[in-house]
Amino acid sequence: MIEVIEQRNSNGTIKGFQMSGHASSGPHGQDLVCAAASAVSFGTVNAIISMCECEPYIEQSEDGGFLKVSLPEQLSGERLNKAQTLLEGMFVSLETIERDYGQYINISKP
Amino acid sequence: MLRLDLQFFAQKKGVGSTKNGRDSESKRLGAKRADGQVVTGGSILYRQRGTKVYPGHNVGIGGDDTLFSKVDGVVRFERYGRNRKKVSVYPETQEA
Repeated sequence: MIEVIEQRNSNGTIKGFQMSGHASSGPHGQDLVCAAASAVSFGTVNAIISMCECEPYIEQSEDGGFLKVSLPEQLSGERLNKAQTLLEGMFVSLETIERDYGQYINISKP
Repeated sequence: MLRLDLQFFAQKKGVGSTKNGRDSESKRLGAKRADGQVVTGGSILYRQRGTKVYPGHNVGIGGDDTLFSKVDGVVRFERYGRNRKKVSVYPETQEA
């Protein structure tokens, strides 16, 4: 099961997220839920890097199964808004996966 | 930019299956009667492979090294030489 943890500030804005675990929805190379979650999360991080011109703090395990991303504190204004929109969109995408594949991925909100 | 691994959250590649994982039916070897226990003639006292325990007084040894009592009596596990063991059966009249 992939555990997704949303990390928000007290005012509700997103400061980052953490994903850990293994979907185990199929053998290696055919794990569809893993592929979906990987594409959504990696794609979002790369979108933040390119569209918000910032470098989020990224912790990633070498052999897979752990990804932690935090937005830089100094990010503000329009770029912060873009990052927030991208991350909110990522959570909606992951929730879409969770709705139909809930036994393989779980999203916990603060 | 992050390099995408579509199997980043997948169980790692199956490791080669081990060639172990087999075992024979356990034969329940060992002592079948305790020291001081009263037995009848023919009772099995000890199941073994080889002679971990040797036959003593009134005890016979079967083809598969099983030790059995030849008479009714009380079981005694005793030392046999420096570091060996033997089992004997003493008729109760002889014990008293």
